[in-house]
Amino acid sequence: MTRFLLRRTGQAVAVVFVVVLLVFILAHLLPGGPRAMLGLQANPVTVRQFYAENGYNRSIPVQFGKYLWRLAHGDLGFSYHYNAGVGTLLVQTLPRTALLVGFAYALGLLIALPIGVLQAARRGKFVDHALTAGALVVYSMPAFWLGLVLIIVFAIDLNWFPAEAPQGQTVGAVLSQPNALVLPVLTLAAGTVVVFSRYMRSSMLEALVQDYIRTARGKGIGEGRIIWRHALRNAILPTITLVGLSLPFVLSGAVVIEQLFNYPGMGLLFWNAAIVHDYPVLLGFTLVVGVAAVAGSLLADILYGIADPRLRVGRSS
Amino acid sequence: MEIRGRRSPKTFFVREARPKRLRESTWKTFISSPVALLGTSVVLLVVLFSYVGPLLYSTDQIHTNLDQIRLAPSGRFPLGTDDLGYDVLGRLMAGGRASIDVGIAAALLASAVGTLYGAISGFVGGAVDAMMMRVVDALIAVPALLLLLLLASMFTPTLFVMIMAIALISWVIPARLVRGETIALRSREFIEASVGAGAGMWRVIFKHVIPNVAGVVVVQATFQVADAILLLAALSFLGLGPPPPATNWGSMLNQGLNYAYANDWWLIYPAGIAIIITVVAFNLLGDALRDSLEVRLQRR
Repeated sequence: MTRFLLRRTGQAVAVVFVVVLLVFILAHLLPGGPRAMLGLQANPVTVRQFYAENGYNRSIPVQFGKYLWRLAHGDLGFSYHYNAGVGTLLVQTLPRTALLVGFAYALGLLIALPIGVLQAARRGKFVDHALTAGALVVYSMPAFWLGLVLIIVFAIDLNWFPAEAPQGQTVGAVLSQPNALVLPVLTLAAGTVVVFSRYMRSSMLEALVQDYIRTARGKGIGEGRIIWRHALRNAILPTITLVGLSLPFVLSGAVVIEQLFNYPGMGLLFWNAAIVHDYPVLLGFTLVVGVAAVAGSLLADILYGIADPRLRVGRSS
Repeated sequence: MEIRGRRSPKTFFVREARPKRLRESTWKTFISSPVALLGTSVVLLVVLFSYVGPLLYSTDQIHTNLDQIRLAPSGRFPLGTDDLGYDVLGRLMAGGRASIDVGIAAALLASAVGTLYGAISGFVGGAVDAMMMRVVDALIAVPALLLLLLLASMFTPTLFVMIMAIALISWVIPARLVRGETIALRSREFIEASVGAGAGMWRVIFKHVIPNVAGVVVVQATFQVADAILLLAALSFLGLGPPPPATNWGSMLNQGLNYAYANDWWLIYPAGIAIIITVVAFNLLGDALRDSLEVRLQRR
């Protein structure tokens, strides 16, 4: 177990290093070099000062060293567009995105788990096929288009919910407009339902062929109890892990949703940065999400190793 | 069970394990499957619509015509016109061509690069393999859409740049798959015999590894066409796709968004439905190919 943990942690550190290197390389591939981070109108004096401050006039290894040093001190760069540190901007927008993603996750799981269980219980039957077909269609549907259709139907035609997400600055202000959260949360949740229900279905199918299920059946326990008590309890752990691991991808889905509903979270910040070429924000955000993803998968593997002794041995990279 | 790939659990219509009759050919399995039939015929229809359609239904997709903006569907314009006076049906064809061009080119490029990278990594093994795989892990960790937005912001988003950018973020999936397959193959007798007889790495990779991983790669590439079409649509919808007069289904929706309140449904539904149909078809085709080639993807 210790060996596995050490190796796995070493790998994660290496991956984080490559992510940092990747973002560093991208900063140098910017049109015109790192100076592009200052914006198009930067005058030569500012550029010189910026290069001197950040060491961009030194050799590449020294630059990379300085870059690592700044990151180690929590300095993700400075957005000249917002005149604020990238870290500050991310901290400001994080709660709103966390709220949106959190609700979408909760709703997604609430719908997906029963669907997955039902599909596994009725494997190969009509319900299973119908739900699979539905999942395929939703998976193939661009989230922004689904959101657009929801806006047309529920905001424009029926006028039930507003077409714009809450604009409040604080979590409390956002929550005071629950109506406005409905459409963005629904849109984001739709994609998660597809993925989570597929996880749940395959995880349940795996659980249902185990020996303890046969034992339970042999003891004469009812099918409902077998599915909801015996199989579900064992199937839910891998599903939750996979669900946790898909966070970075749900986060990137939030970019599209936040842009469509004009919800001022991290996604909208990122999109705005892409439009106005605010490279420090783009690079900083990419780095943070990449590192968070690596950390998340490391954490998942460790917790999994603790929770399920069968996995402590025999895992290869 | 391992999930890290961008499309691991999303296998939809996979035929349940069925004992394969002896000598039943791959091709026979494929054509006898309704999923394959549906997927193939819809893909063919979309391709015909996008590439042959403009020959039968010729429209001007370059010059704007402000005399005929946002006209509702009629005999003259079966799907109406958009805010610049382009015929929407014709634009759907032009947009389809761009979407499929990008999807297929990006998938081919990603598969070629990923296959070579994965084969080398798996064949060489050891520290080199470990290093090469950490690069793959890093690229998988960063969500595709974020990296794509960053790249689109850095470079002028022409179709060529789109293809390169999508390939750049997609090659890691085939690379990881092929690396796994290569490691499994490396210990097989025919490869050991080949190495023992003095074959070099390149010979083994091209003569033995690539023919044996072709099935996995083809199936994965089919799914990647679908994913690339969705990525291009998302990027264009966000306003970072190829600029007009070039178009694709995503940019059509980006334009249509402005007229959602005006109830111009013909600017919203056709392009969206075109994306769904095409992506569903490529996914079905991938599932069917997986069945007939008996490929197992991303699962252990």
